[in-house]
Amino acid sequence: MKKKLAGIINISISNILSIKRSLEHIGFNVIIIDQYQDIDKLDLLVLPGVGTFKEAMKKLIENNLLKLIEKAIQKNKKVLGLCLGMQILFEEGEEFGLTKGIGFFKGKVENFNKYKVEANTLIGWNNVRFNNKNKLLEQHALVANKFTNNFFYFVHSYFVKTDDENIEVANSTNGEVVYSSIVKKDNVLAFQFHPEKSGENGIILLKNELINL
Amino acid sequence: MIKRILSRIDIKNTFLVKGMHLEGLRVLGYPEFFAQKYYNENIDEIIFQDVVASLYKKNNLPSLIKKISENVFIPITCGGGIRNNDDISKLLINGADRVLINTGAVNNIEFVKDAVRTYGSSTIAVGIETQKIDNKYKVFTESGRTKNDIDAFEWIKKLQDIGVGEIILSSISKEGTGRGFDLDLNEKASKVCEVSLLAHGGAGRKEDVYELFNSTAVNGVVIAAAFHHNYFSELLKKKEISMGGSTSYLNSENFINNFSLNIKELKKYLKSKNISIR
Amino acid sequence: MKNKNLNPMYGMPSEVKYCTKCNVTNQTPTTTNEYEHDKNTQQIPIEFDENNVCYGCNVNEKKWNGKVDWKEREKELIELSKKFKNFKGQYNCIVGGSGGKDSAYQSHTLKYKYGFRPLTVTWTPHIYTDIGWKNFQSWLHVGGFDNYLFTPNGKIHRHLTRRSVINLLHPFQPFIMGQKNFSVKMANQMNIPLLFYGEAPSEYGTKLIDEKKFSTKIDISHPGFTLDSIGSTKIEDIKLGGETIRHHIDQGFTLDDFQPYIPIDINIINEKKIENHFLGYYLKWVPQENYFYAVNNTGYEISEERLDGTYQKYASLDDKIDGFHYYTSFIKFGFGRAMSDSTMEIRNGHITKEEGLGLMKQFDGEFPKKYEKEFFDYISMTKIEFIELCDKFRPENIWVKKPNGWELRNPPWEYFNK
Repeated sequence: MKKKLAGIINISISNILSIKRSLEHIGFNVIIIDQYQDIDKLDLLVLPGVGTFKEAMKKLIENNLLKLIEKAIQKNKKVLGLCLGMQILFEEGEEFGLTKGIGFFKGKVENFNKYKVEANTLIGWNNVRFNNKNKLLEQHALVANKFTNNFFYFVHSYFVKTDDENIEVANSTNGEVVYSSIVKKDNVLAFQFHPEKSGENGIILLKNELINL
Repeated sequence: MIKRILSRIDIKNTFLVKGMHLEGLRVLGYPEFFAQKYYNENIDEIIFQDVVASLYKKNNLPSLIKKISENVFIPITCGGGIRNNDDISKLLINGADRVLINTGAVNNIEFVKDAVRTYGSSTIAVGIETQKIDNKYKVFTESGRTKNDIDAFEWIKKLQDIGVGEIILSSISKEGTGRGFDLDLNEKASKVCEVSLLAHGGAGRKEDVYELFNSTAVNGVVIAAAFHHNYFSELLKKKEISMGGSTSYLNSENFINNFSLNIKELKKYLKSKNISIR
Repeated sequence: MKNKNLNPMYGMPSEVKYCTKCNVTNQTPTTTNEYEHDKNTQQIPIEFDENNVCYGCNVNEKKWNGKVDWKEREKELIELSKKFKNFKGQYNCIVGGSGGKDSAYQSHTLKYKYGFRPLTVTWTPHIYTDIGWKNFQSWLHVGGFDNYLFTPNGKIHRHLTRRSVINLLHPFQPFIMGQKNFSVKMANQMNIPLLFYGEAPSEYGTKLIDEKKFSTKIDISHPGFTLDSIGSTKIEDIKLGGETIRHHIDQGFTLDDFQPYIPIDINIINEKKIENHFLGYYLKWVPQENYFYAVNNTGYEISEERLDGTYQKYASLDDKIDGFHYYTSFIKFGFGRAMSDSTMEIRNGHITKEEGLGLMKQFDGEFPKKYEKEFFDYISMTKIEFIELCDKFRPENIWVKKPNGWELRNPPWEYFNK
C-alpha cells in the first residue's frame, strides 16, 4: 500500500522534527514546505505553530503560503492545525493588536491574562474532555476511550472558544476559562495541544484521526 | 494543573553521568537507552544537560538529541553551554522543544532577553544552581564551579521580568544525595516565582516527592539520580561500557548508593496521596 | 619544540614533554628523600616509555586491564585480617589520615568491611580550614573511630615552613616529613606493627621497590618508595627546610625542637617488623568512588567553592596553605593543581585527555588568593617578597617572560595541537 504524503509548513525555527517523526511513525512520508508549491500529491497539510499570531500570518502571506493553505482547504485536502496552527485557522487574534486569521473556523483568539486563570501561560499536561453528546462526533468519543488518561501536552498563552457546538470535538479548562482543544469541520482538524509531545495518547490520536484518509 | 514529573539526564562524551554536589561524575550508561526507558515508563518530560559544554565552549548535544529523541514523543528540554541564538536554533531543529540556559544567562542577560523575543517565552527556560552561603542562597555557574554574588530569589524575579517561561531550581547541597529536597529553598522560590517552577535536587524516597508537592507550590519535580539508580543495571545489559574508574560503580557488587525510585510506582503513590499527576 | 640552550633545574630533563595519555609533564619529580633535600638536590623525574606514556599511566592501566586478579588480592587482605584478628589490644592497625575522602574510605572499609580494629592518627595541617576541621570531626564521630591528633609546636613548624619556602620553595615540606613519620612512630609507641596507607605511590609515577608496602631498603641508586630514613647520617647533618640541623641549632634552636620531624630509627622498624601496607594493592583504588563513599559513610562535605588553581572542590580541602603547595609546584615543575587533579582523573578513567587539557588551560597557575593573607603571615613574608622569590625558582626551560608576565613556554594544550 502506497504511503500517504504529508507536508509540514515551516515558517520559523522550531521543533518540527518531532511532528515529522510522529507522522512517519504512523506511516506517512513527510516533506517540509517553506514556500508556495504544487500540492496535488499531498494527502495531508500540517500547520504547526510557534511564535505569535501576527508574525505567523505575516510570514504566511510573505511566502505565499496563505494561498497554499487556502488551496488545500478548497481542494479538500486533509488539513491539520497544531497549537498556533489551530489558532490562525480562526477569524482573528488579538496578540499584538488585532490580526486577521485564515477564517475557516468562527471565533476570536484571546489572551488568558484577561481572565481568572490558573496560569497565564499554560505549560504542561491538561485534561481534554471529549464531547459525547453530538452524534457526528461519536467516533471521537470512541477514540477517547482508548486513552489511558485524557492528558495532552499544551503550551499556550492564547486560547479560542468556538461558539459552534458542532465543531468542538473536545475542550479543556484553565481556571474560569473553558476553551476548545480539538475542533473539526469537513476536512480541517485542529488541536490546541501538541500530539507529537503527548506520549502514546498523542500517537493514538494522530493514528485514529489521520490514517483513514 | 497537574504536577509534572521530569527526569534529568546529564551527558558527558556520549555517556549518561551522575555526580553528587555536581562533583565526581559517574558513568551509568548510555542516554538513549535511559530516554527510551523513561518514555516507556510514562515520564512526563525529559531534560538533557551537557555537563561539559561550558568547559569546551562547544556543543555536541544537537546531534545526540536528534538520535535520542527519535521515538520519544514527549517534551524535551536541552541545556549545556548555550550562549547565543545559534546554539538555540541548532537544538530546536534537532528535536528540542525548550532550551535550558544557565551560565549563559548570568554572563549575558541581554542574550536571554533576545532569545525570549526570538523564540517565545515558553521555549526559554533558565536553570539556577544554588547553595546557601552565609545564610543566603547564592547562584553558581559553570557546573557549580563559580560562585556569583547573586541572590537566587532576586535572580528569579529578574528572569521572569524579562519573559523567561520556566525556572529549574537545583540545590547543589542536595543533588545526587537522595536525602530529600531543600523545602525551605523551594517554598521561598515558589512564593516569588510567577512562571513555571521545577524543583531539582534530593529525591530519594517517594515520600520526599510527596512532601515537596504538599508543602511547596512548585509546578513539577526533576529527578535524576534516583531514577538512574533504579534502571541502570538492566539497561547496562544492552551495550557494554568501559571507561575505567567512572564505571567501576557499575561493576562493583555492593552499590554504595541505596536510594532509587521507579517512575510508575512513584506516580501510583502520588496519585494515592491525591496529588494530581498524569 | 627543542629547548636547546634552555637549562632545566632540579635534575629534570631539558626538553619539556607531556604524557600522551594523561598530559603530565616530564618535569614532575617522583620521590625525594626530604632529609637530604637542599637547593642543589637533583630529583628523580617521572619516567616516560618509548610511546611517551608516563609510568603512572602504565601502572594505572594494570588496574583496569584485567591483568590483576582483584579477587585474589582481596583474599590476601582477608588473610591479613584473620592473621591480626586475635592481636592483643584494642587496636590491631594504624591508619594515618586527616578525614579527607581517602582516609575516610580506607579506615571505614578496613573496620566495617574487613573487620580490622584501626586506630586513626592525624598530623595536623599547617592551618586548618573550617571545612577541614568539620570533616575531621565527622570522620571520627559519624564514621566512628578513635584518633590521636598530633599538633607540632607552631613556633618550630612556622620556622621550618619559612625556611623551606626560602631555600626550596617547598612550603609543605614540614607537613610531609611530620605526617609520614608520625604514623610509624605511633605504630612503634603503641606496639602495633601493621599500618595502612592509601593508594600505592606508583599510581602517581613513583617507582616502587615493593608493590605491597613501603620498603625499608635503602638504595641510593633506586630509592623507590621507602620509609624515609637518615641511614648512617649524623642527626646534626640531616637537613630540614634545606638547612642542616646544626645550622638551625646555630640560630638558637635545640635538637629536641626537631624530634617530630626526624624519622624513627630504621633498625627499630626492622626489629619490630613494622609494615606499612598500601590498601591500593589489595583493593582497586578509585579516588572518585572514595568521594562517594566518604559522603555516604563519614559525613564528608565538600568545599563551598572551587579550590584555587583547580576545577574541583571535593579533594584536598583541609589546609589553608594547600593552594601554595600546588602553586610552588607549578612554579618549579610546571605541575599545577589542575594538572595534578586531572592527570589522576584521566588515569582513573573519569575524564578524557581533552578535558584535562581544557581544565589545565583554564585553572592551572591561578594564584591562591583565598588564604594568601594567612599564608604570608604564617611565613612572615610579604606578597611582593614571595613573588620575587618564586621567580628565582622558575626553570628557563619551562618558563618564558613575556610583557604580560610569565608564561609556560610550551603548555600542554599547545604541545598536543601541533
